[in-house]
Amino acid sequence: MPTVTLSRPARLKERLIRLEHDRYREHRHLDVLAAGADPAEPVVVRKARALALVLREMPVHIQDDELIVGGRTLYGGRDALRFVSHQQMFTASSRWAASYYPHYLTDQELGALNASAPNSRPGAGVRPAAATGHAAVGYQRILSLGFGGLRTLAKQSAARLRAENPPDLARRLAFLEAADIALAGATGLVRRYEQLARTLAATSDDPARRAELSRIAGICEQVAEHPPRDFHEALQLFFFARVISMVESYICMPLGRFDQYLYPYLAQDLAAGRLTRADALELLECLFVKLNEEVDVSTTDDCLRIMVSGQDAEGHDVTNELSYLCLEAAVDLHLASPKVGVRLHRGTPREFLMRCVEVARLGIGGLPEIYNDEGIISTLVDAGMPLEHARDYAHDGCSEITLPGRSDFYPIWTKLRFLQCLESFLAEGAEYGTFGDLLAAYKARATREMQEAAALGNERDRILGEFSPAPFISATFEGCLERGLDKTWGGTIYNETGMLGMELPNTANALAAVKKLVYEERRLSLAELRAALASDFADAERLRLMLVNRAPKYGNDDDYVDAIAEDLASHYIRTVRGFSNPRGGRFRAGFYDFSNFIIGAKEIGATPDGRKAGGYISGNLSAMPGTDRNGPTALVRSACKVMRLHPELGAMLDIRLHPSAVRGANGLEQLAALVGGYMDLGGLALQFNVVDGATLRAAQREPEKYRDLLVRVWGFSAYFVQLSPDFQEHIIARTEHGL
Amino acid sequence: MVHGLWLRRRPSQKPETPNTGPTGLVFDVQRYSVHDGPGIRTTVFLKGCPLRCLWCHNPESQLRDAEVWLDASRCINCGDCVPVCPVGAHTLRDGVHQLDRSRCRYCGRCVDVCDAGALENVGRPLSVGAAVAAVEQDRPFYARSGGGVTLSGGEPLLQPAFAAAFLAACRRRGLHTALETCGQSTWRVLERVAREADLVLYDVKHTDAKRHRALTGAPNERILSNLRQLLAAGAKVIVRVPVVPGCNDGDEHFRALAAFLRSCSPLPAAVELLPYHGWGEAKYRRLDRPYSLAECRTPDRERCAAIRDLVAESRVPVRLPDS
Repeated sequence: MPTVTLSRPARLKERLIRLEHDRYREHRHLDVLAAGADPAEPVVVRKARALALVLREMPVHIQDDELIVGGRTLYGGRDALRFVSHQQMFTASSRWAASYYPHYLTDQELGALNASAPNSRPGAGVRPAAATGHAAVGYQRILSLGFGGLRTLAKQSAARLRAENPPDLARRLAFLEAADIALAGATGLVRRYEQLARTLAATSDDPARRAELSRIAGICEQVAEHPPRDFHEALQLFFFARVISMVESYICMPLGRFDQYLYPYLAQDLAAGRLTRADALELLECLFVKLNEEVDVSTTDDCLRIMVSGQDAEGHDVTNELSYLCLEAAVDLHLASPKVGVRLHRGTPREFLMRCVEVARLGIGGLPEIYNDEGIISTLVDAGMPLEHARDYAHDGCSEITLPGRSDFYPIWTKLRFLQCLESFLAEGAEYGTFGDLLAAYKARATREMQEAAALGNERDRILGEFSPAPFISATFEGCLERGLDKTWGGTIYNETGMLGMELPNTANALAAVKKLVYEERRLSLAELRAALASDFADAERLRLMLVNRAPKYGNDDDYVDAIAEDLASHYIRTVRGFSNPRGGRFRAGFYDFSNFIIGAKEIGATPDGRKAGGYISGNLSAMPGTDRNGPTALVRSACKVMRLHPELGAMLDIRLHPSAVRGANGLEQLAALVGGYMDLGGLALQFNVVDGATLRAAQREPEKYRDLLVRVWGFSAYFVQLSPDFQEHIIARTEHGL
Repeated sequence: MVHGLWLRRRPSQKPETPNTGPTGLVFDVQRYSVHDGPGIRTTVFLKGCPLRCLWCHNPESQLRDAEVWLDASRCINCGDCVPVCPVGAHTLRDGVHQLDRSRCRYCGRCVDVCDAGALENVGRPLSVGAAVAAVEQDRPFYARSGGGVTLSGGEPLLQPAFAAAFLAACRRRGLHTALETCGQSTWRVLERVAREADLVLYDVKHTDAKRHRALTGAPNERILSNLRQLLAAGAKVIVRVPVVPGCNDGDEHFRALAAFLRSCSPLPAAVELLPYHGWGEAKYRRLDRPYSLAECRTPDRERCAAIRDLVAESRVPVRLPDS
């Protein structure tokens, strides 16, 4: 133990970093059918029984110092883990924590699932217990009703539906039964923690700890069924709900508008003198550390995001003390998760804005992510959502826009990879008389790819509803319990499919090079270009440099190339909006690349922007590394041209700044103004990466000294030293604005 | 002395319209300038300077003609520049590219064929209309930050027609205008241009005439008298003072500066100390010019603080760069 006395959260963090929570991970093999479930029961009921089985069997642990308790402790075994790419990406950390889920499908059902169309395509399969993730759980509802209240709602709904007797009554009742089983399982887990806390309290030698454990037992007793009465209880229930939703759907689960859900409890406690601000911060930090247990810290990004500040349904600012505390806790703890996002708007208090840019300047893994209310709300309204719903937006576990507890979408299912599409388009070898003809033909091909992606996504959507519903999470979503429909059956209000637009900046650069050098200046023919691309610029370095240096590049506020990006983006958004899914919802468009800019990039051959085969591509709407030479305002203007087209899932811009550009009071003011200008120009999401290249090089040489160096890469946050060399180089190669 | 971010940006490739007003020889239009006047600014750098400060970190700004950069690290020795050069300045010796700058007439033909991007023009003609269009781009950021436009150089007063017309045009559009000058011109020219600026950033390199001549190649009498007159005329002025170890960092100079400023009426709005940095060195290499201050180091914080106290005797607020 260190000689200095650490605060409780610091001690918890120490233990977390040393991965002590590993020791209570267990591996089991559970099977609901073997445990006595009736194979004739509907799948949704068996899936709920599987969840309840986990919650009953999962070992419970309370560690020293903990004030917030719980956690997933059953791991591995599930073959439905589809995020293999994460493992490939983070070479230093192959321990992505697969949540265990019992078998609940019959052999016959498994056969049908495996024979389904998507499963015949590699990488497109849907497995048992497949998770959609990205669902901003209705925490508000859980906190106001409690698990017991939700069960009551399910029962009332069942009674009402029986009276109404709709044609699919049996299916609806099955869902409500499943929800009841899942919620009862949740209560059961909390009671097990209550028991454990009481046992530990009885055996603890330390009177102070004994009192804490008794308090924990009392909290669990309350929130096992009932709504919380104070801040501590609310945090604990929030965390249990989080753990259980992660068991049910382990991928990329966001936390929604955290400060809005929890502040009423804090305000009450502060006013009554039950809690000081310091107490509140300690509790909050205990929760934040807990959230990091959900995955190994070494896996760096578990898509765990909270949103703070913003507006209420009437458009009033809702920044509160908890908004500030969340930023404070994140800075204090310096952990990879949770990532705090802030919603800013014209009515944001200046103090909060300045606090946000102060934190941004610290360069802690791109904290905070900044979301522009005006841009995003108008985008959602443009997409047909009522204003009061739009004003309640948050982000999903990545950075897409969603409505917590109201909107469910599956973003990872469908995408358009602009650059890959261009590669295969050019490889077809057709000749075009004008650039306009070429562009039109490319867009037609992109349309076809989007149609195919949507069709495949819809097929998966249908299978998911049939074989892997999510009754616990569904029960928290507005509409599901009321209508008796799982979210995978279209039960909530907005049942959407996200189609991600990827690789746009490189594609705009590539087409700009073709337009300028092939069609306008006629410095090479399309055939010569094709030959050079096919050979990966072997013996054509001159030509490659011409493509790099003689054609405009996105990110410089140059309309020549930005207009191409706009044209492609607009075509994509319009096309995507035309698709609908089997849940009665629509497709929505957004610009996110996730890991694609490294992983997917390796699959793409040489491209006309002068990029060699397998080379990096830009992430999100950021410029291709090294090509944005006109500073951050120019980059912002380029990105906002695309963002103003209103992609409903949103879009992220990353700006890397060297510390010298943000130094001092003056630097802080300019950073705030840069954010303000971005908002005025209709930007959507934004994050800064304030770090210098020398620091990163030093971290490469001496990783031990830089273990806590967080780096933010386009919607992905990571400990720098644990990234693969590819990632590290990519980060270093990015243009350092401002030096 | 030009205090700006030094990284060279490629000139925009878009056609520069509208093509109106006098034309200036511009070597850079730098957006997100945060060190040359208040707020977020766009700085237009004009080419040509009457001084030759030893520490100049924008050596490409000095000559009044267009020049050619050579970034040898990007050269692929393709030899394409050799046949297009009318004066034989480019050669390939044993397959390695050489540039004889004594022959170069800066016609720019080599730049046009250099696909590797090793050769670049420094300096391009820009009309007032085109320059205004360029600075208009970042208007939302000026509005948010209280920023605007800075005209710098080189020395803007060497191109008075363009400078005055450009600043006046920006002002008519409601943009905040700043002029950065070394003051080495006739009063008539300074007055004509400074009149169009909301703020003048006025450089004082040395208070001692002989030292000034040794360090910058020019005397300082007119610079100091122009400053006095500019203040008397009511201009808002920030005096900028480079602090270059071994050149102009002695106590005496700063005492004299304080005394001089104190004798001005009204006083300038502020004095900004600009500690030397060596970032410009690489640029000398790209211009094949020697850099005499290669050994010079940035003054430390304690020294800067001591200098600040000396200058503060003038009763003018003294600012050090943010740290």
